[in-house]
Amino acid sequence: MASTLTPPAQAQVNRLDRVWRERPGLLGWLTTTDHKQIGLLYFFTSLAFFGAGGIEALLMRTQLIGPNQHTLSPEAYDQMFTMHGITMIFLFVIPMTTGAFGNYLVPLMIGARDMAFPRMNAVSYWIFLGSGLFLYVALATGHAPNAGWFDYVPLASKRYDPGLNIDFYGYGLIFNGISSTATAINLIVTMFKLRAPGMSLARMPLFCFAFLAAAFSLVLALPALSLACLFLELDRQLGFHFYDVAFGGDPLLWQNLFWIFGHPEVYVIILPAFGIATSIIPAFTHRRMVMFPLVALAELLVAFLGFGVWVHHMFATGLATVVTIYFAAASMIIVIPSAIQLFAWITTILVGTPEFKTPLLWIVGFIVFFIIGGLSGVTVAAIPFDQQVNASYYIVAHFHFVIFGGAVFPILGGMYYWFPKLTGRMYHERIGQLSFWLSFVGTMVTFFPMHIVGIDGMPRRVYTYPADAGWTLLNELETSGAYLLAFGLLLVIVNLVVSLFDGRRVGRDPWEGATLEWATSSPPPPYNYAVIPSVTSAYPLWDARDRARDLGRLERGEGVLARGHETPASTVQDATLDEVLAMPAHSIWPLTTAVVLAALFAMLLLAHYLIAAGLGGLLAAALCMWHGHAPVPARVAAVRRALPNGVWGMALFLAAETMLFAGVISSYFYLDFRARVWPPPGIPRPEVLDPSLLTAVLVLATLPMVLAVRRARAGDLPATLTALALALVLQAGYLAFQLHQLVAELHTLHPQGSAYASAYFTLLGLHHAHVLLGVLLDIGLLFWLVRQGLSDYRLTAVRAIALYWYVINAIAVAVLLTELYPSL
Amino acid sequence: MRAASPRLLDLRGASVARLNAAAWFGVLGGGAAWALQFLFGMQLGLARCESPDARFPFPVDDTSLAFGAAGVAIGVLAQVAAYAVFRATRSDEQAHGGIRVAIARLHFLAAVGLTVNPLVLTICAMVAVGVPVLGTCHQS
Repeated sequence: MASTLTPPAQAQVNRLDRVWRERPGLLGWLTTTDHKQIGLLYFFTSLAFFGAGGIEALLMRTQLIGPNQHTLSPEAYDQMFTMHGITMIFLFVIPMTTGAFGNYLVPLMIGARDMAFPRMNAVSYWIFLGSGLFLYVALATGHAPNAGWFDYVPLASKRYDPGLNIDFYGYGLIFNGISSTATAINLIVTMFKLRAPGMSLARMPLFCFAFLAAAFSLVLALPALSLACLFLELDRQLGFHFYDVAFGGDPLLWQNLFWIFGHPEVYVIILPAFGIATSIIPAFTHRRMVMFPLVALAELLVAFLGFGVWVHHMFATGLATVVTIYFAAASMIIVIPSAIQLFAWITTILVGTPEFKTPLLWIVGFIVFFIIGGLSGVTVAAIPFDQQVNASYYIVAHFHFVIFGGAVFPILGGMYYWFPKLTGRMYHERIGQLSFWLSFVGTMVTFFPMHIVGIDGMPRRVYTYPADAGWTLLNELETSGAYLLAFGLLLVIVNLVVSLFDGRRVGRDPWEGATLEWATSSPPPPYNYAVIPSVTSAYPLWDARDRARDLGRLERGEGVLARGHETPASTVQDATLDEVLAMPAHSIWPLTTAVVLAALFAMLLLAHYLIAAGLGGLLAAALCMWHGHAPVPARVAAVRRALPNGVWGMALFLAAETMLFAGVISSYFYLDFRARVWPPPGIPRPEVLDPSLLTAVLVLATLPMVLAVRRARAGDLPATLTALALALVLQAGYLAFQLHQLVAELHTLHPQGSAYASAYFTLLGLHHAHVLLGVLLDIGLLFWLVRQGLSDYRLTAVRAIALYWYVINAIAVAVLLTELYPSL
Repeated sequence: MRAASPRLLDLRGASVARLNAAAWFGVLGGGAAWALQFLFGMQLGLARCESPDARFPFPVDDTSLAFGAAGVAIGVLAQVAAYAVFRATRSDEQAHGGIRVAIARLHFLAAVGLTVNPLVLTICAMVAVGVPVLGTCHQS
């Protein structure tokens, strides 16, 4: 673009180059908040983990090539298949899709200059890296998780697995979940608020709809996993009894919590792949996707229905039909939105003029495998069939067609498709096609025979099998396929690495793509677009008039936004320009925060709780310093029509926390349903008066928070400070009295005494922890308001923290009712 | 949005704000009904059938039918709302600027609602009928 610019336009570009110049070298990478650099960090890190997971898979397949092999010991095999699952799901697919593709492409596709929260974006990456290293330290020291990626209790309980293996799993996944949640919140707010003016919801690319659906699923599903792991660690490290039948606990509670997360997680894995497919297909068929609204809807609907099907992973546990039927019905119906997308892809290819270049080939392969995996999925939605093939290789075949064929193939197609955008060079087409065919055949040969050995009775997760079982030939075939597949995948990497240095140079849009990322240079500059693009359809790059108009606007300096790190923010539904935001630049605090958090989790793992508490204090200080530097005030429109990004971010965080509490309260009642008497004999019923009065005090503190927001909006700093201080006194008083009561109760009721007591103390403890967090937020806010006064940035903080309290106070009422339920 | 041409509003017989509310009800109504049926029905089923000594003797069959009927009723209303918005926003030829964007978005949301509601209605009906037919607390 630069070579064709007129002098006034070039002057604008030069100014942007100066404003957005990145720090060079290692320090630049360590402190970057640029979404493209963070996307690349995610890309290379998750690719490294993909390699590790692949090696684990090959080791397993080598062990299983024949009966009674000794490549791996039984203990090593357990660690390998567990780490393979954890790695591929938590350290490869999710970070590769939401972290790498989402980070790099979403802001480009919606015409933004960065993610909504650039520093949170950086900390998400560093936490992801920390959690990955945390889990691989376990493998290096021989303590890797070893009870399968879904880690069922009682196998994972202290009694049967006394080492640190399961603790690495529990803390590692909670640690990793923080990163994924932060990334998901960031993606949602970015797509809601930073779309280029004119890009209404109906004009947002299907790629973004897919990522939006996946991000919502992550925010709402991950709390269940974190909670399951928290209960597990409380059981293992502190002797609680959530999963211990002897004390009123229930192992099925783990399965429920795990799969409440686990099934939406399948869609978290697959939906971004759908998004990649809907980007590649129009570009290589030279036509718009058919049924655009239905495909967008199907992406969201799959995510929504995905929350109602988790028990189909538990059909063999003996639950009553009146319970399982809810899940069987939803499992049947969820096929329809998946099929809508499938038919839309196929129809678009059929009615377009397809060019079967490498990216489209991977998508065709994905469609074939997704159909196979989808059909076997329908078979296991039928309860009687599922009970027959449960825990056999049939299931391994099913989910590998869905996850490897359905998610990894589009990821590889996406790598080829966007490679010219990232590098400005073209990959080698013939080697690309060869890598596809090797991988396609390898996948089919590896996984298809698993259906047959599964139906023939071969159980999954066995390190060997008897010679007379009749499974040897098919296992040999599977292992040969695995090596062929590995070779195909290696060829992908070789092709891309060689092309990076030796590939043909290409312009900004070698594919004549339809979405905005192809409008900017390859690779894109740090500011993405010299002029914020105008959008009037869902395929903005095919709107030639709009793009020509952008050049004129650049010459006139309209929509250039070069006063600082600026990006426009729009209204959520119709993307009307609302304000111009000043985004933060590089910062060392994200890396610092992640390092402290990693140390905190390491101390928890080693049961050094006092040191962990000290690190918690350090973490709070780091977060306070992080927010010490208020950015340049945003240029707000005369009347701001949409909520600020900070309030959106807090709302989504609170949605996750609400799910966490919904999980704790549901667990409490689940254990109640399974008990003969609740509370168990000998335990007094909870006292009603004191907790009710204390909760009333906390709820009363809502009033000064409301007042603080009103006065802050009016610019009245003294009144804001007074109202906040009053709220703080009430909230801190509530916390002090509650903690005093909780300690007093420990003399008569021990959390190690029964599942009831475990649930009671965990429910109250979690809520008190949230009140403590709120008190710390209040103190930090007061500190910065006194030091720096009331700015637009601090006003958003007041509104966000007030929102935090509204929700925590509402949860307090739910917690109180649950706590008092045996006495009511 | 406030700058909508009076002619357009006359044509539609409803303000864009009302259409907006109806469109969102059309999108979310059926799903919300299913979510409520799912959460309450499943919890009651768990309490009734998974507790020892039948501590919670709820009439699961009746409640299932009641929840199902309520879910279907809300879903039908949501479908009607989505259809009304879909018809009202079929053409945006006379609109321009921001109002045109809003109408396009409303039409899009209505199409979403029209597709979602039959699916969730089917789930509600399958469950409501399935529970009494398959038998209380019969183990699958």
